[in-house]
Amino acid sequence: MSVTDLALARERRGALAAGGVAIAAALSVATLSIPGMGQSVHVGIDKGLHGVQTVAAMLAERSPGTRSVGELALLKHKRQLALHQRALPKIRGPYTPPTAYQALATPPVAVPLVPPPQAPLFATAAGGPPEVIPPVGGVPGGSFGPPAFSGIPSPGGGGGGAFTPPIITTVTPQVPVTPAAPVPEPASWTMMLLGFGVMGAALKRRSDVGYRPARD
Amino acid sequence: MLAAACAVAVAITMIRPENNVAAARRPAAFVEASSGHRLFLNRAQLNQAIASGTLDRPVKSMLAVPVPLRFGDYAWDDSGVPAGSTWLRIDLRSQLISVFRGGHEIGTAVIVYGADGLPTPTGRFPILAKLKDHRSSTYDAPMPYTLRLTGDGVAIHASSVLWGAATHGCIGIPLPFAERLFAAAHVGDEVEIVSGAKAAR
Repeated sequence: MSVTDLALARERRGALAAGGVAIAAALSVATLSIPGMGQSVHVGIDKGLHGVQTVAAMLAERSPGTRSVGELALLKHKRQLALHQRALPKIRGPYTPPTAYQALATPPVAVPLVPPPQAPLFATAAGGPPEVIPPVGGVPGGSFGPPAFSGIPSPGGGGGGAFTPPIITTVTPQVPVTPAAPVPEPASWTMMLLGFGVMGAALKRRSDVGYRPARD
Repeated sequence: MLAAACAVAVAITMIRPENNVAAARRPAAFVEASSGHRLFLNRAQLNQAIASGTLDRPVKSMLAVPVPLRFGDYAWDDSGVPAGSTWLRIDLRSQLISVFRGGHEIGTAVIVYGADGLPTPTGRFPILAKLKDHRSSTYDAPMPYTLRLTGDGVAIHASSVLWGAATHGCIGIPLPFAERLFAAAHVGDEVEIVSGAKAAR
């Protein structure tokens, strides 16, 4: 085969290739130009793809994945959630104050007292208004509610002066009103500070004795 | 007609990558990609699904949700779905809930379920009660749109669906999804809770 033959053969091959490309292009144009042809091809592919996809695969495609074993303990906000979860089951009842304060909060109890054996102070035969002895040992501020029996004189009995109403007084329970101080007393403070001072002074004296400079 | 519908399906399929990117960037919300796009199962798919235990009854179509849902995401499309019996399929393993009406899937969402120490029971449960504004007395917490499943308190209710979150045994779903589900579900509807595909029967 001479050089010219080779060149001719190359030319022929090139022409063939060019022809092939042209035919392919023409075919594709023809395919696209046929209305519905491209669609049907795509539909075929589409149906085929979805036809082989199982329902499990469809679900797996949209799933965020499986929850791993330690996943619940990984997040920072998880700690807050865990706190919240721990706190949730604790449903607390109504608040009950401590006993000392509870005693303070209870209203004074009205105790009917037996009238004294002596005659009433202002019992007159003329039938004056029966007197009521004012509450003995009542609350100075009166902040614990009204006394159980008001001292308003009744508007004059009908002459039966012998009757005296039972004397009712309010009795407040004797409660130690001095709760424990949250801070120490000034005396305690003074004592403690004095103790520290004494300790410091003692240490200073001792160190003065012990650590004398060497060149002295 | 069918060809036109398929052409629309093709169009959606072709722009799927863009949908992926958009889905990855948007905040957790309703998934729009599925609207008007559902996949009808052929006989082979249905047989395979039933044989493998993925489904236990005939299903005609599934919502096409080609992107992985994130926590708090849901998809809902009941347009054109005729009335029918409703049933729910909950898969704890894939953390998904699917709502079916008349054999067509009309909604799906990511769920949170019971923690390891407080597992969600599996099996079939009828919806015992619907409680719209329920407040749990046990946990002193609001549980809107509750669908009660068992007598001892396991229910499907709205919850904050977050990665790494878990419940005390209930199924937690996003609030807007819960609202739609509450409207679609009825007392007596069947709920199937599975953990992965069941063994073939």
